[in-house]
Amino acid sequence: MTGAPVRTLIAVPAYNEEKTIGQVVRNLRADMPGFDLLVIDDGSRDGTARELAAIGVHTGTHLCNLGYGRAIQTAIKYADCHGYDALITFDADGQHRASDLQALYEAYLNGGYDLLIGSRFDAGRGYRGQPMVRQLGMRLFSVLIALFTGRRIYDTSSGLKVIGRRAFEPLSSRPFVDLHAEAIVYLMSCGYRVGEYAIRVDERVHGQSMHTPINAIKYPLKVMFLILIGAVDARMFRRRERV
Amino acid sequence: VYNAATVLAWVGSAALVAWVFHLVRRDQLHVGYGVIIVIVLLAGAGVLSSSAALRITNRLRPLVEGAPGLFVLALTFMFLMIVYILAQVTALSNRLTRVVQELAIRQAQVPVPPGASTVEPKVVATGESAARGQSS
Repeated sequence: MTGAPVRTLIAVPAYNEEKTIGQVVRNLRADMPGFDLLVIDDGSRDGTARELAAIGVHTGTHLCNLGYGRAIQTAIKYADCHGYDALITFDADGQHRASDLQALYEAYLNGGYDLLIGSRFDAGRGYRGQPMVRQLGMRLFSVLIALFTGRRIYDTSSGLKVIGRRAFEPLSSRPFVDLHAEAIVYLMSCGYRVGEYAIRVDERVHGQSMHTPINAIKYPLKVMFLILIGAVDARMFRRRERV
Repeated sequence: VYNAATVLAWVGSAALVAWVFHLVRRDQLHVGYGVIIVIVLLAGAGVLSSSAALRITNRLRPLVEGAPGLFVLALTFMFLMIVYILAQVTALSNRLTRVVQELAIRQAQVPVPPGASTVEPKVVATGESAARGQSS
């Protein structure tokens, strides 16, 4: 890899990831040397900030915790105002493999996507290996996306995505929870090109998932509400486009 | 059998749900608040539509026996005030979010110290060695 054909930023949202963030950044630098790297520290209360300062990486720090979706939106706004053509989002928990990025990025460039999702699941692999509650949630969102857009997206909550410049504006200006299922429905309904590309993930070694038992109830309700809103807005958007 | 009150309850709830929906769409009300309000509205309309549920809630009647008309007015006022206050909280929260994001973006523009962005050898191992910040 000698350099990126378009200006691309890799953004890593991090919240309390002091044990993994250093390794994630080092691996990204080694595997994707032609790309700019930005870490969004989402108000971490552990030693994440200290770790980031020690590595010496571009960091934007939220003074308080705003949540995953807002951290991604900060990265999108940064990419937008600094003239990047694409943004890659990469999780800080060490589950994603930096070595997968190159293939994902090439698929994005060749496919002309506005949003390409690094997919842990696809039609062949199903949702095997996931806890039952999470499987149910993923199936629900996948079916809802198919219902609203006519196309199935299997991994609706992947943190590894390539976002094209065309999608910066809608993703940074609208209310979203985590820019997952609700964002996918909105973009697909508006006519943006969204796709999936198979990736492998490792088991989380440190830290905790953001999906707590209470979140398991709150999160689907909020996402379904926003999916409905996104679908209505997209219909109105298309109507305005036709006029 | 649907009487006028039931129809009115459903029409009123539908109008309020549409209003809440509109507020969330415009980012004037957090989606979490919107979900709670919509669930409460639909549950209220559902209770009014079901005679069995109404019988249960009627057991609370002694609490409001004194002035049921006033109670309904107070309830409406409280509902509107709650939506108003939550919309104000959302507005403040959105402003705070914008400030925090803007500060983060400005901070990210500060150049990284020289030498820090050089490519380091790749370390595949994760886990304990990563936790200690070691590199090969």
